[in-house]
Amino acid sequence: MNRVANDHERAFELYCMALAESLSANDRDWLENHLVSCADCRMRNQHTQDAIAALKSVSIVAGDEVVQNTRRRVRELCMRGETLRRRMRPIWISSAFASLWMACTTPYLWQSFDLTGHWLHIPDLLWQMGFLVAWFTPALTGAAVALWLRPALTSGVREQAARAVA
Amino acid sequence: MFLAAARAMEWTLRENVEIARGLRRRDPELLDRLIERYQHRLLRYLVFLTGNRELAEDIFQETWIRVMERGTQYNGKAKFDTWLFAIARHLVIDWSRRKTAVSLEALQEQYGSEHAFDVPANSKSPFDAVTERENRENVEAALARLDTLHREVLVLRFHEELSLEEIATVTNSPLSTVKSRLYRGLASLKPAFSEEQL
Repeated sequence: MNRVANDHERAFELYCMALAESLSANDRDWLENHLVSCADCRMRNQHTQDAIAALKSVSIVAGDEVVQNTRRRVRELCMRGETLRRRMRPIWISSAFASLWMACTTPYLWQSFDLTGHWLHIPDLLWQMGFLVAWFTPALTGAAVALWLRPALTSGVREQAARAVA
Repeated sequence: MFLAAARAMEWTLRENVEIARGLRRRDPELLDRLIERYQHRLLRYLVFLTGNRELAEDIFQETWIRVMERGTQYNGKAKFDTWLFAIARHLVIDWSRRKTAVSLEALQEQYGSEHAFDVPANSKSPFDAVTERENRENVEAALARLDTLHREVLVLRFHEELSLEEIATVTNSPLSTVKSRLYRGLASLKPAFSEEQL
């Protein structure tokens, strides 16, 4: 009795698997033989087939409005990103130049502070602190200016993108 | 036959790479084409997943914005639709978390009884129209009763025709889990549907 119930379960399991992927030759033969001899399983499989056909018949179509709104929003965001990138380009380029310049000149700046410190008999800690101030000041000033200019850089990006999309 | 399949695969791979390049550039033309191409499939998946059309439409928009923002993460190795569905799925999970639900199963309780799945009304004879309406109601009821995770696997397999491996990628689950969900989904769909038919 238990074995028969297990056979039905196995048949249904194999049938479900057959709907999703190919079965091994052994499993396929077993299923075919079982279905020939078992009317209940044949009917159960037919019901499953009907249910899948019904599921496939469900049609959901995206409305024009949703699609157009989505396209407009995505396009606007793309344009906004592009405008912002274009505006930020000079800042990135100048930052890159500044970094390169800093990398090249730092040893000379250090040496000049070192020489001046020894020449003027200034304590080491003092000229080293002076060096740090001189080293950080341009970067800090640049960052402050960038922050100050930021509203001007980003303003109008949204309007410009909207105009481009329209 | 084999040659044709190989060519189709090569074409798909090339197309995926093109999509990946376009997404990295945030090419608006490409995004436009993708939205046009996948609009119905994506919305259908979301409606099946959430059981709520309005919510699905909101997440539909968010999905495409996320595609634009995270375009650099798509490497072109996997199929684009698999990646797209995975993004949509994550957004649904995020939404359900925001609503203090724990996981996708919670959506079942919130929207399970609503009939959001519409079968299109074609111009048929009155008898066919009545039969079709009854059939539609049966399908809606059977789908609404299904557990979200099972419904998702059934839809991805039989509606979107993804392979089991692709479904595993979308749902971020092991292949054995996908198989088990498919089996359980079919097992629970069958009685619901056959009872409705009687």
